[in-house]
Amino acid sequence: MAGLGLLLGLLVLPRIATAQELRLPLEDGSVRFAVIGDAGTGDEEQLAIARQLAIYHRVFPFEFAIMLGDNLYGRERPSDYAEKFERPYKPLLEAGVKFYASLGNHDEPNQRFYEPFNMGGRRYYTFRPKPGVRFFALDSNLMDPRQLAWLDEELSGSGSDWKICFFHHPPYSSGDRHGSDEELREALEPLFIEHGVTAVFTGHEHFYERIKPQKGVAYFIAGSSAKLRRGDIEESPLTAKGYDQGYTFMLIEIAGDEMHFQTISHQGRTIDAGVIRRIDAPHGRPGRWARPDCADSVGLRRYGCIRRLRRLRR
Amino acid sequence: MATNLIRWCMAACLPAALAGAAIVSLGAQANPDAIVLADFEKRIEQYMALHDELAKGAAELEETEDPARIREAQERLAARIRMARKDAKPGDIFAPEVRTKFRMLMYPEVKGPRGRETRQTIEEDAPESVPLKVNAPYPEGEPLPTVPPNVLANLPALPEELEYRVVDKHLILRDVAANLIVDFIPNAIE
Repeated sequence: MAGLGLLLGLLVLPRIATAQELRLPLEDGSVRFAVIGDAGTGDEEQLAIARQLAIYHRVFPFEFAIMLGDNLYGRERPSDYAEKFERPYKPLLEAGVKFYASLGNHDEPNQRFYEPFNMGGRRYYTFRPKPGVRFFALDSNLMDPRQLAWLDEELSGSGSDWKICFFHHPPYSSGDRHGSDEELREALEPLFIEHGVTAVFTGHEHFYERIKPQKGVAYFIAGSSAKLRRGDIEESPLTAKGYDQGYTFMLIEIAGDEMHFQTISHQGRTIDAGVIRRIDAPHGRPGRWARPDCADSVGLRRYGCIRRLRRLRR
Repeated sequence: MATNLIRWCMAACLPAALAGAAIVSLGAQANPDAIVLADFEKRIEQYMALHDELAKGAAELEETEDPARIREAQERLAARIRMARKDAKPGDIFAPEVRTKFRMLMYPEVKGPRGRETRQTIEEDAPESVPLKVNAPYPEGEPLPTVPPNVLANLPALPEELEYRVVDKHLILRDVAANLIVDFIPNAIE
């Protein structure tokens, strides 16, 4: 009976992360971060993801996390900040992990003054955790000409090899509830292409989707860190990998010319994993595929050199 | 001779006088939109001058680890603005001519070939209700509807402390720091 109880317990309990579960290289000097989106509910689903983040942090000590908006759902009283952010992520905050937030449509813009969100009092901002890697947090709720001009200038002036943008609304999405934000795409995509943005992380859709590279840019939707719309992903030529059956977060490691990613469920299971190589990396080879390495049948791909894009001249 | 001189002067000066009149007339006809928008800008500047004055001291929002301080500063600022603008009414910022102009500016994006898409973006995750009342707070906990970039590109730029939001068919001018409705245009999108 005791043996049966133990067996049942092992089947029911979420899997505990071990070094073997990690699909990331853990190279010296790499940039390591987590990605969460639409997380601010304070309920059990957020806590489940937060627990997995803490577990994985022990084997993959990421230095910061980016938040893709909808950081606090509903009211934003001081007690809500505690319930929907400080308590779920307490182990990470105590370990010194910094959180960089972007604003979602459920977020009061005055979140920008909350220091633990590291927004510097700005609705959109940029930061560079290490030389060669720069992040741009945008406010996709109000993408006005001033913000676009700011982004253009910042991207233009950035000498970083890796330029990564994150914000709430997805320019590309296979979601039935929302779908691609085409007006936003029209405004932002030319800047991404012109200035060599490598990866874009968004939320808003309550599922995980890795979009096939679009004009040399890798897009990820990671909006299921507390909210989930089961079955919301529609069959679409955009999807490289989709998962709308459970909650997820991402772990990312940038090492040299490669960005390694791993998407993990609230049960600690790997949903997706792979590598992105910068398209103008000196060793990139067009059309080269890595051997399949995932648990599912999709496999890994190197996004490599899709096509070298001509720089638009104004 | 004097008559001839007068006639000569008139002949010489009249074209210039008529040209001047035409320029004045042409100027007035060419710039009515600019006049309307300049008026809107002036009202915004006046509001911001008041806002900035009232946002000093305990009502100043600055970065803090304590969200209670953010809330207190916001509420203090809102209270000060309500007091200073206790007689404010709809149309103080969006004067009638400005409302007409704004509707015209938004029309191509909400009614044009991509109008359906644009309206869908605006209507997505719309709040259940927002009271259309000057100096009212935007309801706490309700989502803030996205304003698509193509709409924003057509509207006059605002200072960072103010923002446009479209709720249902109404355009709201919102004070971000104070969370106040400054003014609104009912049925901005017909």
